[in-house]
Amino acid sequence: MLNTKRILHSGLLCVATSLLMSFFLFGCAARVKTVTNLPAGVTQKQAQDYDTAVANLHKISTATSTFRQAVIDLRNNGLITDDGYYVSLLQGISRMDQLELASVSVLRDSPEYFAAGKGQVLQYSQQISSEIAKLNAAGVTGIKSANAQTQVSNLLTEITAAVSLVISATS
Amino acid sequence: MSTKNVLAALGDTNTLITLGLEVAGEIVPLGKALVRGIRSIGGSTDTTTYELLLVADSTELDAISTLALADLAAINGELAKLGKAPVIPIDSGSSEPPKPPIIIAPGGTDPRAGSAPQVPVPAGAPTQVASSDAASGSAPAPAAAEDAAGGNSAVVGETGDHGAIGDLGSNTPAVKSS
Repeated sequence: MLNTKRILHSGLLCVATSLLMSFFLFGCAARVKTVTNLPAGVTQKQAQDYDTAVANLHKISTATSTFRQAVIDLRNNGLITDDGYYVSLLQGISRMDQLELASVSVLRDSPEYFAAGKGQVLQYSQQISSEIAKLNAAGVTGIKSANAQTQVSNLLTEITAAVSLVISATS
Repeated sequence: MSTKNVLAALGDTNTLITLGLEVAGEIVPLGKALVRGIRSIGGSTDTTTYELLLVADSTELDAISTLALADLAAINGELAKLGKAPVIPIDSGSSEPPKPPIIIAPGGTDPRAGSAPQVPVPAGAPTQVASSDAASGSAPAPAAAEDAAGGNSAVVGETGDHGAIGDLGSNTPAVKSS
């Protein structure tokens, strides 16, 4: 039990550190360096920021889905036996999925109109970040395998990093 | 022949194709795109045109919707097993009517500009029963999620409804359309 707590503590510390580092260190790394044939009124930066937001939202979505699959697999393998803990994890992930879908709605508008929706995407990204924080706060105490705990912590770290990039592109 | 070589060969033809994802044995069309554009995305070039950027990002948004909706379906299945109320999937616009391919001349405007603003549903929206037997459990959803993530994508004939370029995975087979 003591060992589990230590692993939990180090895992959460790792996630928290990553969260802080990603907020301060991750730049707005554009996936495409040059966009040609820009229509009037669209700047290079607008197009890049838009593309960055979409790309990182995709990373968040992929990582969230992997996280969801991992949680369900852990449950099916008997490594999460606490129903309440399991439900809280699922509900947290579902909120992240809902926020991703809401972000998609905003991003359906193209770059020149993205400026108006940036604040909304930023808000959703911050809410996703908040959900990750809640999942961290819930911890991995309900997961019985140390390897699985590490896996879950790594996934949360990955999602956090991608969220930070979206925040960077929209703030 | 590697995916990159296939895309390079198809890119020389500069024809329209349709992208699709294989989900549970069915090919789900994603959209049409210029192969030249796919090659440039697949080859991670630094430069792309605005119209190709929009098409690529549009497909990526479709993939995000697919993943998130698959997650919600799987989660609802798990919650149903525990007798909990399911969460409601938010329509992100993926069920919108088919859109024409986006073609923007330099200095032109995006045809999507006239679309009505979409109002996202807050995360804490009321819930409704949305799960089904097909959605229950984790088996169908992970398959959809993995496919949408690019691990099992395919390029199929011209049957798509969204102008789009896929976020092609490394094992993406390609079939040129007529």
